[in-house]
Amino acid sequence: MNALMCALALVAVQEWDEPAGAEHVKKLTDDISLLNLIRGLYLTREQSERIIALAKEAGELRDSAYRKDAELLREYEDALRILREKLIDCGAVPAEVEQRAQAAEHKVHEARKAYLGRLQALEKKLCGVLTKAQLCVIDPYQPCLIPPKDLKDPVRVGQASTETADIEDQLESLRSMPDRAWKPVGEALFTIWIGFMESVLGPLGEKELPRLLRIAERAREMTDDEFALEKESLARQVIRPVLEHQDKTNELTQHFYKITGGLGKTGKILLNPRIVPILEARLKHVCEKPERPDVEAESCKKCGGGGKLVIENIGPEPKYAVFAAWLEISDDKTEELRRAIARGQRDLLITLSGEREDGRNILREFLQCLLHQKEKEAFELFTVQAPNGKTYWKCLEEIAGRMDAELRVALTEAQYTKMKSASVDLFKVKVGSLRWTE
Amino acid sequence: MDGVSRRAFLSMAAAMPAMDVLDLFAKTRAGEFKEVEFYTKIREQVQCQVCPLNCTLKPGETCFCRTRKNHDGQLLSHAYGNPCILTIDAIEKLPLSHFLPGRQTLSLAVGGCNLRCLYCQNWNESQNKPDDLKNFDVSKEKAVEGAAKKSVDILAYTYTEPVAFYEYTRDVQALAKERKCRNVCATALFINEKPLRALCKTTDAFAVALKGFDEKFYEKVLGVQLAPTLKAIEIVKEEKVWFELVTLIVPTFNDDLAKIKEMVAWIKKTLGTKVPLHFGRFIPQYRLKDLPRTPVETLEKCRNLARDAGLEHVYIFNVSPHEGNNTICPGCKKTVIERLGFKVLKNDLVKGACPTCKAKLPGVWE
Repeated sequence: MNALMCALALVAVQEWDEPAGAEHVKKLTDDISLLNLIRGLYLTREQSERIIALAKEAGELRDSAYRKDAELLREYEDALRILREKLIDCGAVPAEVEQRAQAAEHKVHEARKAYLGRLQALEKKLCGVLTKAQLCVIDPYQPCLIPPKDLKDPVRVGQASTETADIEDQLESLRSMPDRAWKPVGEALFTIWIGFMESVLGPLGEKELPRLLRIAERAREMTDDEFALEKESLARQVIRPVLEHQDKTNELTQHFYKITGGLGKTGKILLNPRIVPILEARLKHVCEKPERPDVEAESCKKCGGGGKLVIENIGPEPKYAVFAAWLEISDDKTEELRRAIARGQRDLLITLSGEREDGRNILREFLQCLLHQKEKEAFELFTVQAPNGKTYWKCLEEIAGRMDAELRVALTEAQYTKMKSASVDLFKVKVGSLRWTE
Repeated sequence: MDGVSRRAFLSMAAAMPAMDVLDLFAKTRAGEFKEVEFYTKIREQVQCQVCPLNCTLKPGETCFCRTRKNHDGQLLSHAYGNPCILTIDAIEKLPLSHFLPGRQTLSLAVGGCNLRCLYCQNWNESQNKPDDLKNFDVSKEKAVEGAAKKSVDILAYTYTEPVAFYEYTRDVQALAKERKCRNVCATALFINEKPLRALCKTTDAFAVALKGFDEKFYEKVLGVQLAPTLKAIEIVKEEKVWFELVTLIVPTFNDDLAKIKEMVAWIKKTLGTKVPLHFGRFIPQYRLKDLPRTPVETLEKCRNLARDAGLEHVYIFNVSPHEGNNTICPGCKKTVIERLGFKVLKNDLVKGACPTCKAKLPGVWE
């Protein structure tokens, strides 16, 4: 799904006139993507040195080929110009003029073919420098600035070609919703997903939404443990059109390389002249020896007690824990507060996704507005009258008021004042990441 | 919209797509309490005898591992039937390289641990009480059936510390054995002799974390002692259960080559040259986030040192692709299993033997 969003973002970016400096940024991002790959290949010194030599050879080859190509193009241009003039003259075109143009074109073509052939020979040498496992890392590599961590496939160094983690999370959310809420929320969510997919793959047909809803329904019917084991497979079913599209594209690309005799992925990436300074800099770099941190593990001096909340140990998903640590909320109050916040969030969701006589789904419209960064339109949605006759904003205010009242009771006066003075947004406190430790 | 600014509205609105709806319902406790098998009563107090800490607990107190609690003179495990991790993994993730390579496991983990490793890679789960985590309700029957449904016949007790959820591990293992499944444990083996010998009866392989070879390191960084672990490893060998050793190399703490040399000498003398040893790359975690990752050269030095000392199967993990991920025949030095991360790219072994020189490799291959 991320790959699709990136593709969409690219389309959007192309509508801009690039400002000055954009080229430098592009060069930096390209270098960073390349560095991500190089780091993930764990090249030995010998491999790096051989790749540098091959990339330099490819560079020289390229320079000389460009010079030769320019020369041949000039000849070709001359031949074409004469041919054009003869054609304007309306008389018969001499055979030698036609032949000269043809021969010049043939020379350009042959020189380019020879150049590609020599590059391919270099690529073959390059593949011999790398191990089979390293080639397997390059094969699915998609350039990426900050590659997401993947515990299932830790060797991946670029963008995930198809990431299911987001979809798994969304399915998990749909599972947790009450019966009356999940369908409209699911519809809203899936409509957006379908929009993403269609923007890249073309129309998917009317059956797509019911198909996705059926998957969500299956996910909801499962027990927690069943879902834990099946979620990846369900997520893959959701993005089935994307996966099929990728298979076809990969097949096509390979076929294209075969028939055109172009460079493969390994050659394109590692015979690129940019690789030379990057690899040379990495070879020169010497890691400094770090200092040993002054920390000590807790030992069993006195048994029992369990975890205690210490702010410096919180993370990597702080959210509620940070909120609790900041307000110094005791362990026994935690559950009460967690539920109050969760209740507020649930009420908010149910209110916005509730059925309306006019068939509108305010949550769906709202998500779409946010997606397209239409803040004004999103804002206006809350002035619409809810089925209970009040505006949605009024409803949300009431929910926030109820949450506030519950918190006022649960918190001490000092904690409540501290929270209010800092305008903590309780809707943003993510209750699912309750984490603390010693 | 009386009294509400547009900024306030947008601030709330922006939070909505990210809303966590998983915790909307009251948290109910998964699993059950199970009486601990290895403990003694001293009046109203109890003494846990599962691990060498032998925690003595007054009523209401919990063991250092956070999983066993004195309930009015009865020691009950709170880590039973409530795994916080339930997933399908490759066996290579344990890591085990000589035990059914390329096969999958159904992995289970319950919160809690009897160690306090400063660099724990799963500290969110291991350094929490099971009751504080979001858990699945998975009885022993459900665990074994879940594996069967996914066509998996190996159950792995990993991520946290199976010694901390010992009672659950034992019961699932027994049922798995009945159903012809195999059991593998990833553990620090900080465990007493009796429970370990009982565990060996149902365990088919251990990935043992021998985290260093220095009492001071064990005390300072893990919060426990080294000696009981060494003794436990010897017991596993005596019980003839397949095991592989795993040492995560943490920069500045246990990367001293002299100590590694001592460790390798002990392994060679006590366990022999055929036990696989994995040197793992440290990835900054938990309370050692400021340290850098272990340099690959350090891992290579450790590996070379161990191989030069005569150990036949020395691996590098958490760094891939790397030659150190592969299994090499000690006879003809050819690569017989090629790996990339947790994937097996090629396995040439024929019934555990090298196809070229026919040398038998140690391990469980079928």
